[in-house]
Amino acid sequence: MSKVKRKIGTTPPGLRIVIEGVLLFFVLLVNVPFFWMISTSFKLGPEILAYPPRMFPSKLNFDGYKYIWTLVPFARYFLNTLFVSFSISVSKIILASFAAYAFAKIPFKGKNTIFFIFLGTMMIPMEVIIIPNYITLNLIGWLDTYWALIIPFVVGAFSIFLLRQFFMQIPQDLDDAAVIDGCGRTRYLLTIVYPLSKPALLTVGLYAFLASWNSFLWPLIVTNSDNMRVIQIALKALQDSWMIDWTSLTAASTIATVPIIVLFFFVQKQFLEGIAITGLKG
Amino acid sequence: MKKSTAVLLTLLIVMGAFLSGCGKKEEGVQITELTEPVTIQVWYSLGAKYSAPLEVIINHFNESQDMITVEGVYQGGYATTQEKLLTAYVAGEPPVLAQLEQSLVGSFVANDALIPLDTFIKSDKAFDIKDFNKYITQGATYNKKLYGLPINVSTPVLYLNRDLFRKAGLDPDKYPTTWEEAYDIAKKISDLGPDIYGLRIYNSGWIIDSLFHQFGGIIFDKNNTQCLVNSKEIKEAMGFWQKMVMDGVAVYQGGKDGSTMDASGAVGMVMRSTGSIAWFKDNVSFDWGVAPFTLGSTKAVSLGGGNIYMIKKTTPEEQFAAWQFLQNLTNTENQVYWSANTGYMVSRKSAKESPEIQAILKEDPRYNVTYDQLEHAFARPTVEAWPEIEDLIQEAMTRIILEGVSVDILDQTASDINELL
Amino acid sequence: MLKKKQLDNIQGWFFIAPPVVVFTIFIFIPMFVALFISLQKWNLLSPMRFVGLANYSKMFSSGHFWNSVMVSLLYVAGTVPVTVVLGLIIAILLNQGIRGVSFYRIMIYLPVITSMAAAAIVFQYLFEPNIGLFNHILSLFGLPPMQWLNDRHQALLAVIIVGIWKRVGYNAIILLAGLQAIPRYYYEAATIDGASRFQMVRKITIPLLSSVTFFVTVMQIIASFKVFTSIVIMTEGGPARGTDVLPYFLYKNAFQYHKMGYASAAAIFLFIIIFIFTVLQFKFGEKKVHYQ
Repeated sequence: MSKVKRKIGTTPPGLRIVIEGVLLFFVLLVNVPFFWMISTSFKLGPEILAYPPRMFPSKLNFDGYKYIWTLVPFARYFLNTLFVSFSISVSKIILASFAAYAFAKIPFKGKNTIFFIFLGTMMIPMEVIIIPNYITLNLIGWLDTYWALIIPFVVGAFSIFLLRQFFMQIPQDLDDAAVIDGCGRTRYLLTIVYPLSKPALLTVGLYAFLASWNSFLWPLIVTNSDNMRVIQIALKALQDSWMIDWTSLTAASTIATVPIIVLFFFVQKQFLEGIAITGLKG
Repeated sequence: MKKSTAVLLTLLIVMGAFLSGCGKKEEGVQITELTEPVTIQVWYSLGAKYSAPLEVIINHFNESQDMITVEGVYQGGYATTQEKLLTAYVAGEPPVLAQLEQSLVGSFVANDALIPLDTFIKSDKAFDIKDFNKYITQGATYNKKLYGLPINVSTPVLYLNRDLFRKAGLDPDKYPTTWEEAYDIAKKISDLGPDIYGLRIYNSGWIIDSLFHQFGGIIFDKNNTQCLVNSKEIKEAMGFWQKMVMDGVAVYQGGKDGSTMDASGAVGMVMRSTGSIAWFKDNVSFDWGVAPFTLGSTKAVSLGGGNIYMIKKTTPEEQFAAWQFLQNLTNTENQVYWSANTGYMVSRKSAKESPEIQAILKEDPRYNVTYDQLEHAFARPTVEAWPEIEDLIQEAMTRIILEGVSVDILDQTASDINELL
Repeated sequence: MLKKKQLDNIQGWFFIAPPVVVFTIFIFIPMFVALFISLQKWNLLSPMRFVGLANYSKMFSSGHFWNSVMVSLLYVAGTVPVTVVLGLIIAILLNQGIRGVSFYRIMIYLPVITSMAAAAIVFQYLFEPNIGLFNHILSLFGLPPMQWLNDRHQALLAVIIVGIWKRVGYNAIILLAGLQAIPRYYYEAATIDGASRFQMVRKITIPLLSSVTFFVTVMQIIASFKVFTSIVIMTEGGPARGTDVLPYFLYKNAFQYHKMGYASAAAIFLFIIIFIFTVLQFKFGEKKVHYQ
């Protein structure tokens, strides 16, 4: 879990420059869509249709942004998305860490079977359980509420799996020592394990945040009023429209993407370390 | 063991909810006035430019009285609204009114999920259904019952890039009246350059249905019991389009890419909805015109767009309120307002005659074309399995036109479709 | 005082209770319901009717269903190996003591965190055959324009490209972490033995990385079989079913054709395929995995 400092052999400067060149090229290639998205969102009609395509807009034109602002109550959508994603991410950190801890450290009956079944949930195609879930939510009376957007996702197999991988690396005797009385483990988890696992917890949180921020089929199905809707629905609504308007489409895409990228820049260091842990020591 | 019993029990409860729905309710007029205020929802499928005038009408209605509050909710495109309505209906919580595309209604009608409006119309002396254009109401009539009232009605019209006509040495006022003429004009235009096409075609359901009719073909027999897409006429129609694409005079491109082409000015002619006039006004910088799309030996265009339908599994109070709102939405004054702001057709004769609409038609005759060709309009099929059938036909068309497959694959398509009927 | 064993059982179950409850209500029961529905004929609007295995037999004799199976397999075959190999190459390059590793890590990871809906919209524009950037780039190299989303085969290629773009960064980052965990003395020893750079990659890096590679492969296979958003937005399964992957096939049957029973049967099938692939991975993959 600690970053191993490595300088394998010594890469000759010439080769290093070649490698850096290759990587830089790859990075540019991968980021073409982002550049194109942002550039297009400021272009005017004729520039969008110009061939050969223009790299930059002739001037910054905000029509697309203004338009989507009138299409839907975007501020409300934005706050909803933020609230829902944040709630899910916090609850996933808490609930998944308890479950992950149990799977990593506590030898309880049925552990392996349950863990395997949990992993199996990742293989289920979500499109098919939409209708049963919709009916359940309707029975509870949660349709068109935050509950419908949050509760089904308060915990997930992937987060449990990720944290379990991490907790496995913590020495077992620390747990044994903690089992003196009943609430020892909870306290131990909160006071010892949490501080040790910051990158992993952050990773789970951010992952949950991303997944929630980016999901659109479920929010679309379970919400009806503008008060409950989220950003991706605005994207879908624009996408649905037969009035093709690339400026607005790319503007909406930009709004849906940029906050996530900004958030990512702030936490990327720990996040990338955390995400890397999942693949290790399986 | 105990746990599995609990799971089973929950399963049964969920199942029960599935099977029972929400208890059956009677249809038609059951009450004649409201005793307490009621709030109803209307789900609609046109966003942006089109939702604004609708919301204005809704607000006016809400302010005009205090018993009924209407909430308009934009749900996304037609398919999305249909999907959402389906889910809500299964759960027993549908809105009382929803705007659906005509070809997506079949399944709802066949499964008795909609309320016919006839009893409301009969009981309501003030409402004159005869004022509605009969070609338009037939688009919402199934088994002789009227299920919906029109809101955004349209027919496909031919949009012309008049600049390209001129460049090709053609008179932009001489639009094609037959497919042969369309071919010749398209050929001249496409000769202008490798990236210029005389005509853009695509496989949207209502466009190809128009095409088939124009060649004298129909998709189903009278009782919708047999599929006739492998008829001589329809094969000829498909073969004609295939030839146009193979000869390089037409381009086969739908969806976003197609619209993008239209706006870029690379297309001489394209058939699109009446409602696209507003889109052309906003997005197109060249000189464009509108012509009738009645090109075949049989003059025919399909009716498109959406109607508003009343949904079952709702209370008599909601239905009563819904009828009050429907009446208001489709009255002459609101139709004029809607049409003036969107470019869609009015469906009432009195609205068409109104000074406002007459002024618009006079000022911009391009709006007139769709009314002129209305007498050739036909309603689209209302077969329960239509969405799947449409996909099968579109698939065959794509293979014929893009991959040069023989039109005889339509035999297979027809037999596949017959299995669904 | 409870015995440790009892305490472990109680606490263990107590700790996993929330996911057990949530999964039961929102995943397991619905999955059983789907299984149950797969034995019914149900159009969602009228009551359901028990038909036994009819949906399954209809499915197995349907050309469209097998087309979807084929398209899904092609999609998986087109994305997974490329994302893994490309990810590995990038990870190895990043591990050569170059400057600015963290910059590259961030930039490579951006597609992974992006909303697929947004990305798919942008790609649609990039793939546009007449004015799109990709065809323009092709023309700069003197290559003929492609039809991309308007051609049955090219459309599948296009969605595969988007899939690769979206996920290669994930693999690269995880594989890089795996590389960094390989002890340095292996390489030092190899250098003393006079091994070349390439030999070291083949004889040390790849074997020692096998468990990580195995993990990313499993994750990619699952994700690729479940591909949905890019298909809905970019192609709607078309043209002519060229990109009609299984998740889209079942979604369409459920929500547009109103064939819930049939769609559920397809869903059960998809689940079983993913399951089998994962188990096979574990069976054959694990033997080759070299544990440190």
